[in-house]
Amino acid sequence: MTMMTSMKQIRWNRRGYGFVLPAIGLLTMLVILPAVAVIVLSCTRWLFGSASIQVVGTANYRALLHDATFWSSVRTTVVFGLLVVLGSILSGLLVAILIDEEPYFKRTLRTLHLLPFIATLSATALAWEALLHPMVGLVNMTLAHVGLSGMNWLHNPETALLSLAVIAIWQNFGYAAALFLAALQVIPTELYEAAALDGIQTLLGRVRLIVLPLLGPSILFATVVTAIRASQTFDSVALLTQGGPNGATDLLLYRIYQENFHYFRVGYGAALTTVFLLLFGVLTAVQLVFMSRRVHFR
Amino acid sequence: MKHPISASATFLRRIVLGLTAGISVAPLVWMFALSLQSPGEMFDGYFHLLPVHGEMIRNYGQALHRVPLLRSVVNGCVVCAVVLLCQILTAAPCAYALARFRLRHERILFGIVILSILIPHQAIALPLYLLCWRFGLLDSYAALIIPNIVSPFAIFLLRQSFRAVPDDLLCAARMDGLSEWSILWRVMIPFSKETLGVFAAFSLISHWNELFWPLIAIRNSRLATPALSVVFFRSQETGTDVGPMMAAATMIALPLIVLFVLAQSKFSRVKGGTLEF
Repeated sequence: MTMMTSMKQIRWNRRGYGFVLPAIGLLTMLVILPAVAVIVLSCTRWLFGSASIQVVGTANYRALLHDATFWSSVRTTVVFGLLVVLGSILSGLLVAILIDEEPYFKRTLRTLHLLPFIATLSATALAWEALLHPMVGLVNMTLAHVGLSGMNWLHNPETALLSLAVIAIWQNFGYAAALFLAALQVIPTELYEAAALDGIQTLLGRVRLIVLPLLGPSILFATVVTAIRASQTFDSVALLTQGGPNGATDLLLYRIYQENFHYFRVGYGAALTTVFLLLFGVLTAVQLVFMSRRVHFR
Repeated sequence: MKHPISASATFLRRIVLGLTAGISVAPLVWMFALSLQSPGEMFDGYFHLLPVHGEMIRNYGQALHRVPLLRSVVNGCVVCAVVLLCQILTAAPCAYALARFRLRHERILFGIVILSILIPHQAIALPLYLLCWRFGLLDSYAALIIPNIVSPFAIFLLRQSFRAVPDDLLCAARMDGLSEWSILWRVMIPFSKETLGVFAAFSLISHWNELFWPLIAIRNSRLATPALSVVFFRSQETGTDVGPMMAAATMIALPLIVLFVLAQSKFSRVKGGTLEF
C-alpha cells in the first residue's frame, strides 16, 4: 500500500514538474538571475564596452551615500509619490462614493474615469504638454480669463514636479475609484437601512460610519498600488522634462535610466537600481499580502 | 434604494461628477481637437474645440508620413498578441500544478514565482540589455517579446482562481479519464475565464503602453512599439508643428481606448476585485 502511494506520488511529481518547469525555468533565467546580476554588478566598476571589470565591494554604495544628486533624487521621488498617492486616493474615494450614489449610468461614469488609465501615457503626456503650454495652452488661457497669470508649468523648477504629479494623479485616480467602487458594491444594503433607522440621513454621516471603516482594506490596497505606479513613473519625465529644470523632476527611475543607458556607468547604475529594487520589493510584498487575504465584509 | 436624498444634494453630486469626468476626458478630447487644427488656429489666442478651416488631412497625412506610424500600430498588435499567448501558455500549466498537485518543493517553486513578482522589469533592464546585445538581439522583435514571455503575475492570479474550482468537478473529470493536460484547458481555464480576462486586459494595456524597455532595446523606427513611436515622432519634430504630433498621439492612443470601451460590458461582470492589476 505504501509502496503504491509512493509510486503514485513519484508519477504525480514527474507530471507536475513537466507542468511547472517551463515557467519556473524561464522565470529563473529572465527575472531571478538578471536581478542577481544587478546586485553582483553593483559591487563592480565597469564602463559598458570596456574590457576590464573591477570588483570594488561596497564602494558604489558608499559613493551613492555621499552623492548629493542621489539624495535629491530620493527626495524628489518621495515627494512625488506622496503627492500622487494622496491626490489619487482622495479624489478616487470622492468619485467612487459619488458614483455609488448615482442611480443610473454607473458603468458609463466608471468607464469615463478609467480612460486616462488605459490611454498610452507617452501620447497623453504630449496632450498635457499642449494643455500646459505657456502661451497657447488651455490652462493658462483659462487662468487669463479669470484674471490670473499663468506660468511655464513644466519649465519652472517650482511647478514642474507638481505638474508631473497632476498628470500622474489624472492617470490614476479613476483606477483608484474603480477599486473603491468594487468594494462599495459589496457593502450590504442592510447596513445603510440600519443606519437610516438610527437617524443617519446624510451622505457624510453614512461615509463616516459605514463607508470609511469598511473600505479600510481597499484604501490600503489602493495606496500601495498607486505608490508602486508612482515609483515606476518614467514616460512623462522622459518626454516632457528630462529630469529638469535643474533636477526638479529627477525621479529615481529616470536617474537609473540615465546612469545605465546614457553614461553607461554600469556599477554605479546597478547600485542605484538595487535601491529601487528594494523599494519596489517592499511595496509589492505588501500588495501581495492584500491580494491573497482579500478581506470580506460579511 | 438607499433612502431619499434631497434634490440639491443630487444636483451638487452631479456637478462634481461632471467635473471629474470632464477632467478625465479633457486631455484626450483636446488631443483630438488639436489634431484637426492648423497652426494658425492654435496660436490665435482663441479657444476652438472644432477647427475653423481644418487641417485634418494635412495633419494625419504628415503624421503617417514622418514615422512609420501604422507599422508601429501593427507592431503593437503583433507583440501584444504573441506576448499574451506565450504568457498564458507558460502560466496556465504552472498555476494548475501549483494549485492542484502535491509537488515536492512546492514552497520553493511558489517562492520563485513570488520573488519574480517583487522584481520590477525596469530593474533588470540592464542585464537583459547586455544579454540581448551579446546575442545580437537588440533591434528585433525577439528583444520586445522574449523578456515578456512569462508572467509571474499570471501564475499568481491563475493559481488563486484554479484553487477555487470545486473538488467534485476535478474528480469527475479525472474519473472520466481526461488527461491532466485536457483538464487544464477544458475544465480549469473555462472556469477561470474572468480571471483570464482581467489578466489579458492588464497584459495588453501594459505592453501597448510600455516605453522603458522598447526605448532601450529598439533604435530602428520600423520596429517601434506604439508608445515608442511617439518618442521617435517627437525627436523628429521641428518647431511648433503641434497638429501632426497630436494626430500621431491620437492614432496611438485610440485603438486601446476603443477596445476598452467595447470590452466594458464584459469587464463589469467581473465581480469583487474588478480590474485589480
